[in-house]
Amino acid sequence: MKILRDIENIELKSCALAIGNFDGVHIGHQKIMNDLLKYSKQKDIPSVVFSFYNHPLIYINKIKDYYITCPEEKIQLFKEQGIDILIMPDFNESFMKMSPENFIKILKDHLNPQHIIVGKNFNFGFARKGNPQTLIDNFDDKVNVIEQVRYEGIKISSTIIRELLKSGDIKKASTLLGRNFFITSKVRSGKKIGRDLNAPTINFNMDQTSKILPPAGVYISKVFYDSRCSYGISNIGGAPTLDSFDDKCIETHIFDKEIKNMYNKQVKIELLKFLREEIKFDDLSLLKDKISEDIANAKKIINLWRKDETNSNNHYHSSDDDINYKCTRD
Amino acid sequence: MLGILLINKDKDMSSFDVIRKLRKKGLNSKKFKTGYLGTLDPMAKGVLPILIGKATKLADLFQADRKKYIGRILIGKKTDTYDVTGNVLEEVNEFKMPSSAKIKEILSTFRGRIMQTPPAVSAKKINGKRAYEIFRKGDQVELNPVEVNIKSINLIEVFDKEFVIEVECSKGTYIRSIANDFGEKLGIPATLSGLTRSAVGDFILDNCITLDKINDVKDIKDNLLDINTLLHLPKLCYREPKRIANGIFIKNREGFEDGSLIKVISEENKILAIYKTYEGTLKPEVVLV
Repeated sequence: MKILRDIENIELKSCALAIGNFDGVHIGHQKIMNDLLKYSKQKDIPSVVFSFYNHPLIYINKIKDYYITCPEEKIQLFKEQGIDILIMPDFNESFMKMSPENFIKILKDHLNPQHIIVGKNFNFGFARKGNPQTLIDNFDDKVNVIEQVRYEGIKISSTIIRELLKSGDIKKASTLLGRNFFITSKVRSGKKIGRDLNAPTINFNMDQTSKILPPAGVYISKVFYDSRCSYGISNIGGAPTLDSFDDKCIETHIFDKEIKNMYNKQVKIELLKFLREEIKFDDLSLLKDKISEDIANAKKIINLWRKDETNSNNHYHSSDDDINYKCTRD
Repeated sequence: MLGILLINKDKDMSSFDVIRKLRKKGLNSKKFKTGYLGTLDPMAKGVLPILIGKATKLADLFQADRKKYIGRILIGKKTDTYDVTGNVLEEVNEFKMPSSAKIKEILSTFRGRIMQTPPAVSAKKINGKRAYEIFRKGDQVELNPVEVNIKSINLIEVFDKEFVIEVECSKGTYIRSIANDFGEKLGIPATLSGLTRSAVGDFILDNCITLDKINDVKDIKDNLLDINTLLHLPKLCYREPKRIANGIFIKNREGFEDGSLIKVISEENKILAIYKTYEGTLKPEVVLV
């Protein structure tokens, strides 16, 4: 996949084009990608995605905790989809003030799209004035407007997935994403206290990102690093027992693996299931006991999943209805 | 109806003429209040944002402190209005047009926070009376200089007896006064011969439409910009619009910063009100429903 951070440097004779923010690249977005790839193969023209690097709403309203997928994570997902060219300019003041007509002119001049695919609730240009109809007025029947995909009657949107993640419904969010919700980051050095608790951890600090995180607590997770993958448990939030309250810290203990030379390594963590809320203990030894209990509980659940997995490979909707385990949430 | 209509005003009509024409085209003035942001002189053209309905209550929020103008300055004449529509007070026919370098040098003295005397023919008030009313009666108008902020002022083009500048400035700045003051600094009189407002805050000329593109109320509605997407404020979703309409206080559960403005929206992402944070409580500032 070719990645361009600027549309000025490209001039295509023709292409199939999808436009949108595609935050999360959820199953609705995946349908758009599938249609795009189908058309581009049929006509033997490149498949192009136009998406902003930073989310316009983060730029305009300076909101925090918004991305389901941070820009680099989104690029990775587009790669997996098999897109030919990804155009990802920074959303800036000139894009913010750009009239829908000027945006259309840029598309015509640089990409000459033969086929345009957008979602039904796609808006563009200053004050979100442009909509699918504006595109149809300019490109006629070259425009294909995709209806919002429904799941159990709910229209799938990034907004709904954000709400689910905020409320802690990891399972449903993952279903709508079509994969497990994940976080990628470089490993930072932590407080090195996990070692004394018999649970050494790798640590991330998401403070500088606008990534949305589910509520603080302990989660069963799957950890990907060095083309390896293992289960573990992750703590999101601070460490209240240690009087630390950074709410965008993630500490992950990887099961049955020695953690060595992990600093600065790029790691992906999928959150699979909520185990318990954050608790402040009076004594470090109580915390140590609780962590051992968490690890035992997590392993029990993972074993049940493994049994399920031999029957189906569908990881993200591993059913936990039949698990005889009392959870603080769900 | 609630929103902002961005009009590209023509020359030779007052700002209020624009509203008058919109009313003729079917905008119900009894039902919807209408106002505009920042008067444009009749001789000026360009961006004139029209606030419709309860959006008029938000004028202060949109009254951007960043306005951009393209002005044309004629050398050799001084007028009482500081622009070519006024009576000529002084005329010089034989003069050497200053070089670009000289023009730039003088322009640079206008940059930054400067004191500017508004023109006698202006809507500024003196003891409760409009300056232009006093002027037209034939009385002496004495206006005090006002501090304005000129963020940038650049020379664009030079002609025989005229030159074109681009100015980015705060509200309350008179480009006419810049033209007149330029003449004083140069030693040859000067006056404003053309003016286009190219931006009011985020509203730029590209996104404006001319009045001839509007035939009826439907055209007004189609071109109306949504207040919600234009107001760059933190938002709070509230499920019961009726209670917002009643002006209830809301607990600051989200931890919004004290003194900050918050837009309250419905579940359908419709703007309901602007609230202000007072310690632990959000209180209504402007209710829009």
